Amino acid sequence: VANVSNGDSDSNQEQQTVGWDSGTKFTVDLREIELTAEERADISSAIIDVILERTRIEAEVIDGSWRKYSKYIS
Amino acid sequence: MDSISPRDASSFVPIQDFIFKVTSRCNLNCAYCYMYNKGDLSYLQQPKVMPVAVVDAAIERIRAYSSASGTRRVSIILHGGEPLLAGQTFFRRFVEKANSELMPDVQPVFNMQTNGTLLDQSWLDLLRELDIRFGISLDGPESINDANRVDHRGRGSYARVRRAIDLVLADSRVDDLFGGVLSVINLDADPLEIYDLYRCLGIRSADFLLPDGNYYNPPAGLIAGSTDTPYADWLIRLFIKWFSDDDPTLRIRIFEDIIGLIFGLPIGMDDLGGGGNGAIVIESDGTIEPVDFLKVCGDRFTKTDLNVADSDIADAYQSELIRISLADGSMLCKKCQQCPVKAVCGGGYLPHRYSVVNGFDNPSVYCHNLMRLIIYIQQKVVDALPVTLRHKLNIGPLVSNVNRQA
Repeated sequence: VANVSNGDSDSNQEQQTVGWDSGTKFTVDLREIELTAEERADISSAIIDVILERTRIEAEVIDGSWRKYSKYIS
Repeated sequence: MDSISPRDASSFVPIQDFIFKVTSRCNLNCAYCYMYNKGDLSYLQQPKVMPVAVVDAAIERIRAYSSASGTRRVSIILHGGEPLLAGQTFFRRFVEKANSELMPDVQPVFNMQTNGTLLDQSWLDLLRELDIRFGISLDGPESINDANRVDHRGRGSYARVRRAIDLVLADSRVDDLFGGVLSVINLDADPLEIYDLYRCLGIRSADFLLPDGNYYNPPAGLIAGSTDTPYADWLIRLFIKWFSDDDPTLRIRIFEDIIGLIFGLPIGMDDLGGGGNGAIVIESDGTIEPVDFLKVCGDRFTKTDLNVADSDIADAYQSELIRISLADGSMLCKKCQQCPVKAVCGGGYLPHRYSVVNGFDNPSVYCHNLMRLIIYIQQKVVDALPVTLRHKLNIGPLVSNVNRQA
């Protein structure tokens, strides 16, 4: 039942064609690109700022990748 | 693309989350429940409450596994059914046993998800004493919550849950224990009405879960394979409000996770992002199983022949389904492997990829919804960055045929 072939799929699901805005990245790894204090201060979104700070701290504490069970919240 | 076998991919995923099904029944009968109302009937053969002998055996197995694997911290998630049905004596003994057996070498962190209907002051006192973090399930205002979250007589649960939430929010001693509310999306509901309620109540953290389903048992309002994006549209309405309010005193986990993943940060939930997760279930009869939400894939789908009575935790790796669930973010179909959004969606939640024909070798049944939501959020986040920073990061919006103006 637990069939996973990883790449061998010939799924009949409709294929999505996604076009890139070439020359830019969709995601960046801020663990590799250190932001200066000035650059952090220039982020006007309090939400983004808090998420960056919170997630960095959690990453340091956990020391690596950590994906949690989503059927609870704590 | 190179293939990754379940064994290869899971071999480096340590098990750190232990989901204890301390009860195998619930006093609610929610229409969308993945445990009891999506086709799996195995709970009928399970003990209603986890026997003490199973608790003791499971904790000893965790101790041995942690010692052998060098694990210093484990998350113990008390789950059900409704876990509070197990009673306070059970909780006290469970935590005392776990602490005495695991510490000081292994630090257990206790978490629980409750429907809140039984939560009263005496329970709050006990949760404080035992240091158990907890979340409460609530779908929104009364009419929305009670559309699905009813008891076995069909009576709504809102009034009881609301009493519990009011009690929790009035008790500063449990501030650090209360994780927030977990809501399942109802397309008939107005997301802004829910948002306003949570703001009004002073809830500091919430998450909005996609209803569980898959290709042969699609979620409400979704036709498998359709390019319609009702769930993305619903979440985008919520995101616009939350992001424009720019008040981080209300955290919304799905949005925070997506933003964190856009910035390459490694923390998140098992329904987004790549890589592995370290969760297994200990059922109320001691069976070691993969994560419980896979029950939506069929009756007895998650059953294994492993039991804490005679199996080590490491034996879990013998189960192909457990290996797949541990490595879910790495086990992607061809289409997902080629998708530019995969770093954020991670192929979506494992049970949502399931079809009878292909197993998990599919994109999520929510693929179009996830893509639209993620692309929308990324665009708004990029727009919110200073131009100089955008250039330094070389980050920009993705043009997609499923991205429309909200």
